[in-house]
Amino acid sequence: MNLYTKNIGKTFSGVNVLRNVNFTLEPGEVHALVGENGAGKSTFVKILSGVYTPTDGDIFLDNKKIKINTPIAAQKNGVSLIHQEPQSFSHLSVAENIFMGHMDGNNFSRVKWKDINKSSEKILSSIGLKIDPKNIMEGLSIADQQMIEIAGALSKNSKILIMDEPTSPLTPNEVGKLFDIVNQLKAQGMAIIFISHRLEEIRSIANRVTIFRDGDLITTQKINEITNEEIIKYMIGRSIEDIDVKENDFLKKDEVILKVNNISQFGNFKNISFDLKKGEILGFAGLVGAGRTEVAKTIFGAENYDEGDIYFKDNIISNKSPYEAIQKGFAYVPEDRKQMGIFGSVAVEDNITSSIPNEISNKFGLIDTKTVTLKSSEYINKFNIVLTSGRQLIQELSGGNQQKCIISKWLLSNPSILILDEPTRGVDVGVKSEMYEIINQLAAMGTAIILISSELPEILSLAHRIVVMREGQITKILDNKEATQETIMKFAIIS
Amino acid sequence: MSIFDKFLRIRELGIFSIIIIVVIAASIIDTRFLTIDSWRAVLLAIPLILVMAMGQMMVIICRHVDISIGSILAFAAITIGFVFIHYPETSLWMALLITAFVGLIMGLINGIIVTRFNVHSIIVTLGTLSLYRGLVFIVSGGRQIDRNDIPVHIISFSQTSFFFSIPAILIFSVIIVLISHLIMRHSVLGREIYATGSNPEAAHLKGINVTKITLFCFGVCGMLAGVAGLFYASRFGYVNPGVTGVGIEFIVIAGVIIGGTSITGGSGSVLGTFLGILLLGIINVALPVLNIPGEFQKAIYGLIIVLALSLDQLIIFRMKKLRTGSNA
Repeated sequence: MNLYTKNIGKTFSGVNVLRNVNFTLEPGEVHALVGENGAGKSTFVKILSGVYTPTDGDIFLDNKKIKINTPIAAQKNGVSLIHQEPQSFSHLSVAENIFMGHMDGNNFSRVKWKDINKSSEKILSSIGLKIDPKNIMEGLSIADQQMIEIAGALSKNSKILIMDEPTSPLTPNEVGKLFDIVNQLKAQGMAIIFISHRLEEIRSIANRVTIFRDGDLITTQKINEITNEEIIKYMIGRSIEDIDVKENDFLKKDEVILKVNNISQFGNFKNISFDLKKGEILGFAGLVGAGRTEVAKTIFGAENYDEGDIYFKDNIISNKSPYEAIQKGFAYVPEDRKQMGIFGSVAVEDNITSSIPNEISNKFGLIDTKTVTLKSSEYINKFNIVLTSGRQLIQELSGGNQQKCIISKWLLSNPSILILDEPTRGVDVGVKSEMYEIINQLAAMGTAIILISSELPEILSLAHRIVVMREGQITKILDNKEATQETIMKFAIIS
Repeated sequence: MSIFDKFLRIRELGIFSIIIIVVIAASIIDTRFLTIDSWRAVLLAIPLILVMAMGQMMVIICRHVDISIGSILAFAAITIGFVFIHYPETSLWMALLITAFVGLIMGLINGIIVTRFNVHSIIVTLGTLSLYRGLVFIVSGGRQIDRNDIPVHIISFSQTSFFFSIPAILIFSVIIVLISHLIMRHSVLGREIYATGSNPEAAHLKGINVTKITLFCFGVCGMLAGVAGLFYASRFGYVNPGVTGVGIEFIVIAGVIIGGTSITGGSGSVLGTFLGILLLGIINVALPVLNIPGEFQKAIYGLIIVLALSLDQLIIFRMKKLRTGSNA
């Protein structure tokens, strides 16, 4: 079945996330989609599989215009989506998981157990899976569950299979098995869309590759006519704002405040070692899921580690809780601002002063509101936080202003190490440059800063050194002078 | 797979063992428990609860809970009571139809609020528990339906020896249990109820109409609570607006959970629910037979429920270990 899209676009509440996508898919091909997080590839496949309806454009199947408004409509047109995390019914049998939603007959029909068990067995053996269809789903590995989801697509006679990062939860051995099946389906004429961040995988399985960037389809190329370097260049492409990294006096003293020595957290990250100096901004680059946030949370005491040592000011430490870390002078601005950063239904003043309960309360433990206003207004003025009054609820502020409040909160506690996890996500350009200035000022005052960011230009214009992580390990620590978007991406993607 | 292995896979084994333990323990303490009379009492006590438990089980399997069933029972019972006062010749079948319909409407109202406004079913049915009870008082004006208001042919539904001295009410509820089993185990709809409770998001993506499934479960639950209202009028011979059905949701939900239905949805069986209700019935009859003082009975009843739940989990855990051990 030939599929093509004409000028597909998608707008979410006024934001254009996908523009004029003209895409073709042929039977018997594996077509890889690549792009940075937020480039639009996931939105695009969600449109093809009926999860989203496109704002503009049309989808054609064998030259016939079709409408795909629901997941069911997609499945009726032969399009099936294999989710990154398998969508299983753990209490039901394997056969039921395969046939759920498209068993014969109406609601009160008897389930033809023999038929569905037999068909399931046939489909499962055709993809080389030896599982009794009568077994309960619970306890099967992610890889098996994924195969069963593929079996479900085959039971519906799907002609187009969309796989959204299917390899990310799999072990290398399981990836090999998956690729055998993908190759087999390809030989049988199935058209497969394959999303992956791993270029070496794409190279080994795909016929063509399409690159998305900032909501645009940049190019579609045959895989053997494009190099990895070219793919990365197309993925990044955007203009680089040239801000020079600010040196400061503290940095010249070369005073190591935090030394992380070979720490590991089984399943998440392995052998992480780095030094952090006073006045230094240490950037952490890598793809989502590379383990950066886990490392940050571990240093902050919010997660445990299994091996290795952490030294703070030459003393071995082990933060068992964020409370302990805060006492020593650590601060952490989390990635998920709404869930983990703010107390939404509490006033701005109280949010800002929540890091210093002892300083704002009297000897009876009662809060002195005058001190609260005094302490918080200092930063409200300094950072130009836009609000109607200090008693305004923080959830009513814009994302950028909320972020400034969170940073103010930590600055009140005078941290010696500040960890910033994606501090400018969802923040507009104006606030962003203000934030950069604040970060540079803090470093100049001697604060050691860990900056996790998925925006390469941000890291390049702030960080003195850049730690690149890939799948839970540090692949390279680059000096700012030798770092470019291309080199960072290379170490983030290719092993 | 050996027969022993298959045997260990039966989810209802835990509850079944507990029933045996309770029966043996009660018989050792007092042999009077083994008389036909005690068992007659058990069999007469359970139909009302059993019928309600079938509906409640469906609701819990699809990840919800209906706390309002006691008030639905009372409303259906008071409604049919007034029908009897004005039309004493109303047939049993007509009465069943009326109570089922009244219950169905009330169950659907619960379901519609849950699905349409996305409010958690505990909150919704906690509200309607009070709302429906209030309606009982408004409709009845606080008046009790007395024994002489209820026609003889309705009373005899739960009294006379209909077939080998088995009361008709028991046969009728067994039929409802069998139909429930067919729906849950063997129909497409039943499997979709399990799928919805197991993973609602995945069920939606597979094209299952989750709203329709949820409405079905609440509708059936209300309908059977309504039917239980007629059972109540027949068995106890009165309907009191302030007493009838009060607290019954606790027994029904406890029975369903003891029977192995997961409170987080997706699993449970009709056989398990039946055994759960049977266990509660046995305990209920055993306590007075064993001469346990009245003031202790409620506490001991509750204690045994908590113990049974913990013991069931323990047995399931041991079985799982034994199974994986024997597979290796």
